[in-house]
Amino acid sequence: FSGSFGEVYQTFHLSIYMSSNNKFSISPEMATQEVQPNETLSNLKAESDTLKTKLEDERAKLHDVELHQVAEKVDGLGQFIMKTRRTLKGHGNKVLCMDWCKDKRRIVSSSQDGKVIVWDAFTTNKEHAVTMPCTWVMACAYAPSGCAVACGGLDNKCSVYPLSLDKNENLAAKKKSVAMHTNYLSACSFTNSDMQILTSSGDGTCALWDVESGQLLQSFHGHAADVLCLDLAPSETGNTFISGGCDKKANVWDMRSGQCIQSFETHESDINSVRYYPSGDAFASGSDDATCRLYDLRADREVAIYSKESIIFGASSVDFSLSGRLLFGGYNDYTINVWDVLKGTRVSILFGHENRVSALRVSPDGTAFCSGSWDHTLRVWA
Amino acid sequence: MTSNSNLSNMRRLVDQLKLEASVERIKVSQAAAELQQYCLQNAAKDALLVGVPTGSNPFREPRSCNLFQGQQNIRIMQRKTYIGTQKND
Repeated sequence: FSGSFGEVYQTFHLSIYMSSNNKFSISPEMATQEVQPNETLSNLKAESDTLKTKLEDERAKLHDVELHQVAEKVDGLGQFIMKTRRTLKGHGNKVLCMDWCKDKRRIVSSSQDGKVIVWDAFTTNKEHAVTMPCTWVMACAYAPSGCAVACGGLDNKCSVYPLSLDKNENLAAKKKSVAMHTNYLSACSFTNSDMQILTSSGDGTCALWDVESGQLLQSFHGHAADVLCLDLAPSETGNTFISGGCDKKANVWDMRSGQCIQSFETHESDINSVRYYPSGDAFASGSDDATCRLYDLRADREVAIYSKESIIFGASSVDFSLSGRLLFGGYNDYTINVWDVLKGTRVSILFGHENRVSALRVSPDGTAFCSGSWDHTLRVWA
Repeated sequence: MTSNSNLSNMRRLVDQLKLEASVERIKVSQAAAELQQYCLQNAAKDALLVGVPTGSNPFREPRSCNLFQGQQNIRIMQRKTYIGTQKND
């Protein structure tokens, strides 16, 4: 049966209904032979292939123009003078993750040496330091209130540490274990309040947790391999988040239902970083395939690729400037490339780190961005 | 049994694909125009894009605190010494 999409859907729906009721009887459209379990499996496989093709066709129909063509009339960007304005030194090993506080001056960073440090980026002073019971603290996040930080890594957990005003107090004593995964924690983020945390893990899942009770509120299954990164939608756009993984897929999730609502698979290798465009209508990704890409959620497709033949090392971390016009990418070749999001061209390349750039975030008010590196330092650029 | 779990996995995959296929989509031209519009509307507020008046980017201005890098350090030290000299007059 070739038929229209509707016909295929109907026939297929019929076979699902029948197999789930264990009645292997014949559907009107099929030939007069009994449907065996393995035949149903191969039918399903054929249907899934048809559906995938149909999905590609539907997406392609709306691909009437490229983003950079639409942006041809926009003024090009001038020369950028961005320099390292602060260098934060203190970690004893590779910096793996960092996050800004909403106050636009404090930063939390975590390292392979097991330390989590809270910095005042204006003065470069260290305000707090916590030693985790594990090495490779791959994830850290600042609470929206600024009163706590969350972190985790090879311990498979995400723990929350309330920040005390008393410098002498041992932060580790007040630690609260919130999330438990069955493999390493790759990323974590508070939702709009200090009460809930979203995590992603090497176990292939993401999960939403209640901080106070440690209860699992929702889990998100769909990645076929380690999930490496996540980002929450800007609050105005509602309850969704995106994740990227070693299965080369970027998924969009509904936080309430746990359902994956959109999925994109155009990268050729692990997706190390995903970040929403400021309006929430699109997101960027950085991958080991040495490209960054832009996906529009309403067009449901990739709309731009940021790449150059000379860039052959993976992009580990990406973030947008406030207006979404610039995309900053930290790469494994120690550089930071700055892309014109609309035109698809590179506008600047920043040198300074002496090893891989592993983390990169723009400050909450967009006045600066911070990069963390395997060279043990963090740099604030403006 | 493996065949049953394969079956249910396949079923789940097909259900997922059907869900994704049913998503409402708009044309790339419209999506691109709206991305562009957002960029242009917010460009003036984007400090990393257009820069801000001197003095209002806290990272571009040195602060009168400890731990600074390079030339700024020397300039502040010189200024402090000068002020110190004046006070002694």
